[in-house]
Amino acid sequence: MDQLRKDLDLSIDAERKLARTLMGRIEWEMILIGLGQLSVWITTWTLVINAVIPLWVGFLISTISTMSAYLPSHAGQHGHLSGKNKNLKWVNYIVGQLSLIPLSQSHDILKATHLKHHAYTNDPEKDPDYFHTHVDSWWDSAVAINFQTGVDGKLAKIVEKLAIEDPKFGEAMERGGNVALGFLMANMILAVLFPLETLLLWWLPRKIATSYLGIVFSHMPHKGLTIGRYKDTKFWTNGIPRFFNHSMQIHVMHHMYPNICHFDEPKAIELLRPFMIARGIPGAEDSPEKIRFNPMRS
Amino acid sequence: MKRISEWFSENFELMSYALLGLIFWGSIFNAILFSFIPAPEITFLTIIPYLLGLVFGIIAKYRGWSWIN
Repeated sequence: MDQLRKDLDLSIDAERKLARTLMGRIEWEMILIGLGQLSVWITTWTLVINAVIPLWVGFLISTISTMSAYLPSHAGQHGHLSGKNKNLKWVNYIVGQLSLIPLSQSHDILKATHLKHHAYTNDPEKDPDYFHTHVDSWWDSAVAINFQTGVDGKLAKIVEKLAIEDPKFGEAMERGGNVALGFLMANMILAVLFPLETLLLWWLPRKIATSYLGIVFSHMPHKGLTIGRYKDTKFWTNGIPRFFNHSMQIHVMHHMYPNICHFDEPKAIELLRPFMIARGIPGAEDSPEKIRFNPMRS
Repeated sequence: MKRISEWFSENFELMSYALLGLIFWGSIFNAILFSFIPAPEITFLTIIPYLLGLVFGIIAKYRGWSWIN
């Protein structure tokens, strides 16, 4: 194996050349998941309101489907939903925003902050995800992500600083603010009409899903790590098959090459594993050579 | 008149939390309360859940409970 690695060209150019072979397609799976989970969510509302299924069953379905609401927007944030097709760029926003309805979030705001997270991963001064990532436990992360826009103002300070440095970021936040206000109004109107349904089909599922996202998308892949392209994200495992963690055990590939679609990341890791080991990416040495349904234990 | 508009713009966040508490949480508290006890005729009892929601919203503003929205 070591001899094989010595024979390989492990230069950055060779790494990029290989990575590029996996970029540019339309990630249709995410379009399907985005619109699919929204359909499930709307159907659940309809079935509960018409007393076809009990509210608690609706709550369980809504919680599970809302957990899948972020990833399609994330794909849209990176342009995966249009691939190389410049005339399809609108799909990124439309599907991304529709998918976020169960989470009551603005695609513009999440895109702007997520791209800053990529630019400044693990930087306490500039990474918008810092405060729910670098905490001691799952519980702390779950709480922090729901409290982070509170009066302690740590996240607000980062957002203000980034808006001053980058006016386009500020504009995106303003645009997204209007969408967020629309969601707030929609929540209030629905609470008047269907109070318990709004609580158990919308508010509580999105709080649970937001906590899950904080733990699995931020805390586990980045906690305790420093700044740097090959140092800021790690392979991790909790023993559960990776699909139950939205494949975030291999989030490290996303930070190496954000233009590679989520569903192509296992293939990318298999191809780029020698480069990842050579670069000293945390956990790369222990990662399996083949990535299928396994929970990322080698 | 100017003073009123200034007060509203200075206290926009407080107003948002108060409205959220009154309308969103008030409606939810109302539904929870009257799913346990029979709904009364229009009396002061029907105001209590909304009052509770309003107070909850105002407290949330000052304690930084952004999770209420």
